[in-house]
Amino acid sequence: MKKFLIVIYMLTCVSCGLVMAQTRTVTGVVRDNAGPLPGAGIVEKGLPNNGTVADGEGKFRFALKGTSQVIVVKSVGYLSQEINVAGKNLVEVLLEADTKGLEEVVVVGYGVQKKITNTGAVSSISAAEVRQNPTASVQNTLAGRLPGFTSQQRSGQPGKDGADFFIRGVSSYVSGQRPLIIVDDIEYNYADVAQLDPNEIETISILKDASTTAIYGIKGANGVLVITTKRGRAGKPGINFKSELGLSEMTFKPNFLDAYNAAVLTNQGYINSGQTPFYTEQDLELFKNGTDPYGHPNVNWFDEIFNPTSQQSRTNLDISGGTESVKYFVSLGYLWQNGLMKDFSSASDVNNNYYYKRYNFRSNLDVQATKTLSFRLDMTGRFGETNDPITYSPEGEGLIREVYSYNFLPPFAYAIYNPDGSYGYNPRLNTTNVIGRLATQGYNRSFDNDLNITFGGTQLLDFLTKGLSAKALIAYSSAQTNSRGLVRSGTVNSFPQYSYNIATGAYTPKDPNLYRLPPFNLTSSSGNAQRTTNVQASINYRRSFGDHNTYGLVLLNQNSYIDGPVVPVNYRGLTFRAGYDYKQKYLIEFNAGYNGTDKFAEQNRYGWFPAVSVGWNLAEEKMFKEALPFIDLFKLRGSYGLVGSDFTGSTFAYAYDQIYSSSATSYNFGPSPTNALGITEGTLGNNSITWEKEKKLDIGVDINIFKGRVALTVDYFNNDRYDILTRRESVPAFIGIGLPPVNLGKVNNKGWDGEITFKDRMGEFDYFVRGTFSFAENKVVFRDEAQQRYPWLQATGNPVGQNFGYVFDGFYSETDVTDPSVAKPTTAFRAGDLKYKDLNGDNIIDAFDRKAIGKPNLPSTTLGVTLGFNYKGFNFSALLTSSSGYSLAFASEAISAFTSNFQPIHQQAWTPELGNAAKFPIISRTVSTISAANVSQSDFWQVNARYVRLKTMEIGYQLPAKWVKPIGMNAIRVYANGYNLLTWTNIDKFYQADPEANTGGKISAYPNQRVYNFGLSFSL
Amino acid sequence: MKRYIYVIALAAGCLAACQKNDIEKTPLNQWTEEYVFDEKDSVGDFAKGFLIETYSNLPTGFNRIGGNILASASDDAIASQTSSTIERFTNGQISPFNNPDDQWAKNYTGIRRANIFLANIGKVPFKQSMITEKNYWIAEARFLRAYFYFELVKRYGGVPLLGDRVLTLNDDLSIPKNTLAQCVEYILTECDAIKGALRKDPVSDAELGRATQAAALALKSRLLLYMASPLYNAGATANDPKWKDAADAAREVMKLNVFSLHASFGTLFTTRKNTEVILAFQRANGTDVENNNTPVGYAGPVTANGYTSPTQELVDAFQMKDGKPYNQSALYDPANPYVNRDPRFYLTIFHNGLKWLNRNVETFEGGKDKPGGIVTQTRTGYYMRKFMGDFTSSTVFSSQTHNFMLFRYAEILLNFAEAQNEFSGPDADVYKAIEDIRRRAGLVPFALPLNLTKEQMREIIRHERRVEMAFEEQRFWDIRRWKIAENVLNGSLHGMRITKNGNALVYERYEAAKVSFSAPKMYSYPIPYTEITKNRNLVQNTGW
Repeated sequence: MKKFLIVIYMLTCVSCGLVMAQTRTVTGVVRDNAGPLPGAGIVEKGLPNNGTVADGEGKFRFALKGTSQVIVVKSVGYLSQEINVAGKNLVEVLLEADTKGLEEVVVVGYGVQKKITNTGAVSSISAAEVRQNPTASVQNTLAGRLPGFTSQQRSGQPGKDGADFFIRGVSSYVSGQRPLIIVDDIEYNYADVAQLDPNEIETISILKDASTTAIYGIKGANGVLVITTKRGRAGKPGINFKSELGLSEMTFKPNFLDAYNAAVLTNQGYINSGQTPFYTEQDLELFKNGTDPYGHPNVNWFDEIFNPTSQQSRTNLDISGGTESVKYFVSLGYLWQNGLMKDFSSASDVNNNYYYKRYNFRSNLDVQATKTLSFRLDMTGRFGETNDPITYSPEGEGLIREVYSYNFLPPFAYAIYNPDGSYGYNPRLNTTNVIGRLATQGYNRSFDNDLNITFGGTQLLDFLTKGLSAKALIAYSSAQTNSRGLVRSGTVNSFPQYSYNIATGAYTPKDPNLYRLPPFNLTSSSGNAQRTTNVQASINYRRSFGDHNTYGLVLLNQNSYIDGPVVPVNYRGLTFRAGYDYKQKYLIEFNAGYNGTDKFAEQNRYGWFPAVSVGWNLAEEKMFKEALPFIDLFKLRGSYGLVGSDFTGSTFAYAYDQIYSSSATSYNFGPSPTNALGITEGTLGNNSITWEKEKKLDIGVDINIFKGRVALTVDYFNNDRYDILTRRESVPAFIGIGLPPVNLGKVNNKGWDGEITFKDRMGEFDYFVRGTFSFAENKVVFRDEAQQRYPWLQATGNPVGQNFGYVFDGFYSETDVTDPSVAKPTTAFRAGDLKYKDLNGDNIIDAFDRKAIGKPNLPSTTLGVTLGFNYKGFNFSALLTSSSGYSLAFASEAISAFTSNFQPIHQQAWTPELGNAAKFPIISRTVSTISAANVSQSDFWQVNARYVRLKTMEIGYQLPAKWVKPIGMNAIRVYANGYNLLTWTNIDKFYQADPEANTGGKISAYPNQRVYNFGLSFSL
Repeated sequence: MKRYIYVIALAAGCLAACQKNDIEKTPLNQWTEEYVFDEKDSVGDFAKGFLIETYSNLPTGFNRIGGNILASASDDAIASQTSSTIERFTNGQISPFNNPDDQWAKNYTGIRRANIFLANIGKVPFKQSMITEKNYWIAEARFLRAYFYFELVKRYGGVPLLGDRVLTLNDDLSIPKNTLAQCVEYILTECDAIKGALRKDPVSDAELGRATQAAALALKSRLLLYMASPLYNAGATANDPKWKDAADAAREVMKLNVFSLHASFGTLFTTRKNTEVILAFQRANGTDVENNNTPVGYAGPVTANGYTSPTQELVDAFQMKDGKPYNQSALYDPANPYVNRDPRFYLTIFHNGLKWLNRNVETFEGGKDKPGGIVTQTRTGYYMRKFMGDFTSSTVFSSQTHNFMLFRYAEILLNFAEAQNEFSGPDADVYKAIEDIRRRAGLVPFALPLNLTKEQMREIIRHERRVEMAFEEQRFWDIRRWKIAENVLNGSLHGMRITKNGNALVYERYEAAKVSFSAPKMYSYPIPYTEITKNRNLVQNTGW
């Protein structure tokens, strides 16, 4: 063997020496119809590493080293061309635009695939589209652009506004529904995606079916989001600079009644509860005329606490370029998002606003060490800084909930400031002054540090057999969050507050012992260092034999994740891919993952995840071509395979073992108490626990017609998830111990997604329209559910996340209350309370009358329309998205009278006159439990939600070259774009919330933001 | 070229080497059953830890139900917060879906722990000097198991008895209920079997808090008393032998001659080691009882949640210090109703004018502790004072012992008096038991009138039990076993509205809460609905 290698080595050297003698230089220029084309890549045929890049004027010059005398010229969006340069020293290359999209590639797992030969379900967009959106988190703008991608943005808080997202809905009724995220072949976690700087991104793909996800095997069942970053190209350094400034505001503003109207309703509530009205006529008069702002304040807390708008800015600088041997892409980014809070704290010299700052850098380096060996070194880092004010809000739920709360911030809560400037206090309410808290209590600031290094090498092994290469890669990432705070010592009440008596002029302190602010304390905490090490080694093969094209991949992958003292998670696996096509007409591909994780017992760690996909390019058939010549691409494809999900969640981690744990108990023997060491039996183990499995079927069609003017892709999928890790629900509690997860749940998830694009050009007017649709509907086929007394109580057969509750059947009238034939709850109620259907007919409304109501909180249908045009230097694009097929329900501070602040809907509460025309149950001080949304959930509170959003819009203008060239610039562009610009929804008829909010009791998340953004970019 | 081959080979070798040992076969930091019941551990260190954890399944008392004490579900108190879960007991909302005091799972967890301990302790090779200790532990585990069954029985009636079985998922888990009689028989047999094997009282300081012989006898006393009571003994005759059994069981504790009433009712609950406590849940020192129940106006320097609002009914139950009911005593002044009361009153209830944290409690309308408006505050004009340390003239709380007493000697005396009176009438022993408690309380005179009838004595005993054991999770069960819940918990509970008129205070009783109790179904708890669905052989209790 060794001898053989030496011989090959010598032969190679000799042959190198031979060809060296023939070196000669070729110069040329690359053009398209419009003129010189910069940036095209030129390589010598047969020597893929001998190449160059056309400069700004389309010119190139390089030395031929091989014998083929042919150069290959490629540029994105153009058909590649081979040119014989024998005998020519100066060539002119005219590239033809790739209108049919036949050369387009899509990023798939561990590689790229030509669109025409791809047989899997993949959707992708270029990151340029994402950059039209000023939101800080990449995923916030993918819904509606990528068919099969569903997202709901639950919070707009700076630094925490990344949307929750899923690929083709959800297929498991326990946690672990989230897709795998791969950035440059390395697994990222969910939080990291939101931190990515869009400026670094080249492409975003989602992998949806078995053939594309099987290579991720045990991690692929929820779909995969694949992101690649930009890399350098040989050529002069290109410098791009971009600066943006934006204004943001809430997508909606809650509208609460003023003090007078709220006091009127308060009195009404007392009367309805059989109590004397709380406020006298004189009180009401004072609320109305506002002459007693201290005794009878009328405060719009929302306006007092929040500014109408806040600011954000983003700055990016990137430099890329290189030589044949070293190429680089270096990017720096800075993002700043300010919160909406008003500035109360200047006096204390602390920043009490929410804010987020992010510093990103990336350096992607490619080194061509020899003709056949190349290395890459990527370094990227993110440093985030998130500021949270110390709000001391009641029950730790934050300001938003407090603003909604009748108990804490009714409009007549207290005067913010007394006449002498001290903080006001209302002894009847006995809460602390919110403005005082925000002004004096300091902040907590958390710092995220996230560093990744990837080092890899590729060795071409053409000397063994043509088309073979080997690749190895090591990636290391480290993430840590620590925080530092400046907080007052003491408790929530640690600042002086006074109630002021306007009649006597007297100030009464809330706490007579407190006459000044206690000093600030510095606090700090540091999170666990989270380290991920990833090692990959692979052999790649790609070769054509005439009309027979083959490719293959074998990849070893190992991943270790360590999070402080938590048990580390290790993953290891082999991945296989083999593909074949004949004339790009008949396509077949096999994919398989063989991988495992040590979350499971030794004998259950590894599994096979095979998938097969086939495709048939009908349009390549002669008869088809002749009959329908305007169809450029007509590809039928299908895939079927098995993938897994090893997500066990923290509660199920290492569930194969039954763990005994020790801790200091709450039990203290002896006269001087000392915590005794106690040992508990942990949840029962299940030695046979293993991954969840999913059989994915996908049938799709890709059609391009009229020279690429129209492109259509439609996919049907049907996924059967089984062996879902779930706790058994049929085991009586007298077993006395927590139950282990068992592989037994089943969920079916099926639906459609696709997109249609139309693009054309009229002279210099380029325009396009693209529509996407995603529809996914799931059903729990089996869960280990005990037999319920009535079939409508059964969760099986309903979608994942189904709500159960009563069925609203009008309001109790006064005659209903005494009518024995009307079903009634066992608890106290009164006329005007919600009346429910008596499902089991026992004339009693109780928990047996609850059935599946509404829909889950995740939209089943997402639609998107993107449209845009370019005209000379102008460009415009807009994305409209729509989500529907989900429900929203709130309770408590969001809607319940006397818990929530009074809202206009409370003025339409039940009265005997209104009867069933009322919009809200009777307002009363003591809410009957059947009308309390937090106790008795019913479809009265469920809104079948839908919304349409103008998610993104951008207008830009590129200054003409003749203006910018003289000042030494390549390009200058000004633009304005926006996020969440317009919203149409049906939920605002009932709730004062954003339609993407998380369903639940109260509204406590920071509201979603609308952003108006202005930017300037230039390149050198 | 060759060097690349070498480089690749070397790299591959490195990778393989790196991977060799960094994945453990199982998480090594996690313990298994073998490690806890170790076949080499001659002192049974970890096995002991397992037993200690079993203790922590005992009732914890105090503000355990959503911040409220169990007494807030009786006629002694109501929750200060409206719409607290505890109200379900008094407004008819309790249901198989919805029981704020559902203790089904907690007690079966305790039973499982005891059974695991008993099943595995034999594996541990105790050295000779540890054998006695080991036998104590086994008896303690059996006691705890019996106690957990008692907690179940008093709530649900008959429940499935598991014996020594440690259930697994492979067992047939459709286990039917045993009858109440079988469950009681089981608990009594266990108590009898272990009473000789448990530690004798008093125990050394290091073992303070362990279940002792007296604990087993006390459990027996309470169980037999319950079973002799009207709820469980409907057809009882005048001198029912069940009352004799109950009286004998109590007398057995008294005969130990180890326990006596602690000298001061005031420090009884904050003294870890005293002569009265038989068994208590051993808590760490803290201020949680003070924090949770101190009148709300003290908030600021201390936490003062004021969760508990004792009722006027309980206040009226406290006699005057001359030992007479308030409406029969010359000492009572309607314009100043809180003076000259039973000294226990001032240690049990915060009333308007009681000094606390250096100022007087203000529960008059608009006072600091009853300011009106929406803030949580007393609904009756009273707060709970019991169990707290003495913070009359402090400014903040200091850490106190707050062990929750499961059995104390005063209860034994009361159990005895009640059972003996029912069985054979108010004899001298009955008189003595009650008078001992009244003497300790500080009543002058403490003596009871002579020649009381059985019925008169019954009322005195029940009344004494109510005030002596207020808020100790006794009344809630007593009104059930006496079958008087349907009377005392139907209608209204009252508070005292105190209006300040210049410097004068005007007192006026008012309805603080409406309550309802639906008999007979509420005399036992519903079995949780999920348990009924999961076990086809489990029959729901009558009425639910």
